[in-house]
Amino acid sequence: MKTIKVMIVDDVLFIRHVMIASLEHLGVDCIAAESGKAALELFQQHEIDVILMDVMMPDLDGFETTRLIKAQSGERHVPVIFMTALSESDAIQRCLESGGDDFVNKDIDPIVLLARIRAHARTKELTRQIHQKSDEISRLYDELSNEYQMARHVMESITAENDMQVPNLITHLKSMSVFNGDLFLCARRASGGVCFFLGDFTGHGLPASIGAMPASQVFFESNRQQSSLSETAKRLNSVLTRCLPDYMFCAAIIGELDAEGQYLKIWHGGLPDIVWLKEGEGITRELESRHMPLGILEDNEFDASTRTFRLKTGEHIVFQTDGLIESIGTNGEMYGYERLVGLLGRSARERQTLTSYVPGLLEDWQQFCGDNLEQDDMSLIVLSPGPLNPPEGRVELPDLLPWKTELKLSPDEIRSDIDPVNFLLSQITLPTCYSGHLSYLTTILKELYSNALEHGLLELDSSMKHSEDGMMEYYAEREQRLQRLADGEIAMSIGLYSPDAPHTLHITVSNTGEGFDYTSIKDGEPVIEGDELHGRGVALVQGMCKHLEYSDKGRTVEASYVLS
Amino acid sequence: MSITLEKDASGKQLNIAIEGVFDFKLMQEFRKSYNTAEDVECFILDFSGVEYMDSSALGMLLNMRKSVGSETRIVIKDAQPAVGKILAMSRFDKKFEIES
Repeated sequence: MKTIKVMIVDDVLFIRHVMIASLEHLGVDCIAAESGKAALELFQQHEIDVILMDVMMPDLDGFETTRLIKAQSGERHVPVIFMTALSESDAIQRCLESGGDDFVNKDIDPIVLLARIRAHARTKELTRQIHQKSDEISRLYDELSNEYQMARHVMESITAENDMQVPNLITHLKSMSVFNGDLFLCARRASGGVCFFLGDFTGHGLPASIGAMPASQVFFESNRQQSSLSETAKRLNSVLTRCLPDYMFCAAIIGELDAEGQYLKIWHGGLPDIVWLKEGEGITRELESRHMPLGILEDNEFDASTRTFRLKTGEHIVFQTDGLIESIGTNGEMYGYERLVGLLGRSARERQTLTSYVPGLLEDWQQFCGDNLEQDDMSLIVLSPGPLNPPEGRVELPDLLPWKTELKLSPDEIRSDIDPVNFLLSQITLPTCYSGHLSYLTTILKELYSNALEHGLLELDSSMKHSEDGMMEYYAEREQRLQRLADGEIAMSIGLYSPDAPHTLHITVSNTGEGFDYTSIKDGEPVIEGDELHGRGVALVQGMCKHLEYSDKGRTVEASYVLS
Repeated sequence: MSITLEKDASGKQLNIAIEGVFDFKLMQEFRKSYNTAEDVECFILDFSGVEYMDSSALGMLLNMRKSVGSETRIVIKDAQPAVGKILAMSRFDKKFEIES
């Protein structure tokens, strides 16, 4: 143990000597001051552990000296033990008032005094350690704050891409720390629609928001590439499974609303039920999560299936993380899904408009929570149908260079599980402003491909399809002939290569079969007249294309499609 | 890709919800869905989950029309834009009630 250094303050020389002699004998390091003034000076020059203070001294008395020493030492704790005579018992109160820590009789046994000194020295040492730790903590805190600031800057740059100028989506986001464990992302689609993501990462604060960085990047990148909602979900899951530690995941909803604001497509994994409100009616639907949260399943286990809903006027769809319903109120209970749904339902029945019921809900929530601020992050998003405002900075039709992509399929490749049309289309990347055309291109290619396979290579007769049973037979026969198919090839190409028609896609599908009577499948318009059950495919394609022509006994079909 | 059936309380209306790609691979399941239904006066085909439909599906719908008879109502409901376009181009509104 470190030697304890004691300062004895007494104006009587004899007492100073007695004290020094007895304490030094017990191994205590002593210095002595003959007055309060001298004590103040010595105190500044030495590292003193405990002060033994006489009360009655000329000029500065013990009380005043103690007050001055305590004031000088600031946060540093220096124990002061008053030495009193029995007759001064009334002064005990004043000893403590002046900041003294203890008092002893002047005739105390030196051994007992030593024990008291040691106890106070220990307190002083502990106090010193606490101060040192707290200094360290505040230094770390400053460092951390700086680091947070930097990380926050990175986060804000990433989420700066968020397009929040969509009146159909009203967001209420609240974070419990500088960083939010909830993440809301929103981006416009080239088609004029909007894609959004609401996620709740396990935990909150910086660790929870780390997952937000890869998630935002993948979300915006996926959106720029016009990936489908399922594809976006798949990519988000994949990156989060790879990046996040096993115990962390992200409950999320990914949604897409079309430009007309009519169709809502949703992938829902692990967040609370989505609530459908209808003005004047109440709650019309509560949609449960169908999937596991993102960041858990491997790519091959992940289910990216989505659901689509047609929205009606007067409907509001409420998405949320669990922050709101799991808030703990002043009564120690959770806010709860029931209370939320009750309030929303009541508001909707009373035909309240969006602007009034959400603030009402938040007010109720705040009242419920009172001063209970130890809560999770919370996000509430309300979506309403109706045409979206046009995205800012819409792209003009760009100039394109001529190009062509071709696919040739052998019987084995035709039998494979890979859909050749989706594969071919996945090989080409159209400028984003053309993405709306993909579904038409898919239909055109699929219909022409089916004809090339079924009538060209497999030589099936489409008149079989006139009846229900015939249709069953037709597809059974198709399967059988496909399994037996030994020779032949189907070639499909798509490209943009006519200088006269700069925005016209050319599509060719040909097969090496015997040829077939294409007029029998071609004359399909108007399609539904006379219960004509076959030939609709070609008629459909004709309706979508500028030009369609069969040649070479039906072995080749050429179509042109205008991108506009 | 699947078909979900739901009868209303009266038992006279059958809701057939189709999800995913609607093409000939669904033929048997789709056919069974209306052929096994008894005393149904109105079929509601919920198309909100149909992501893609080809001409074989159009054929399947026409077969259904024939099979259930012209006095039975068939309503195609909530088709997504791309699918709705295919129904419109094929003038399916002549034989079906298209509701959106």
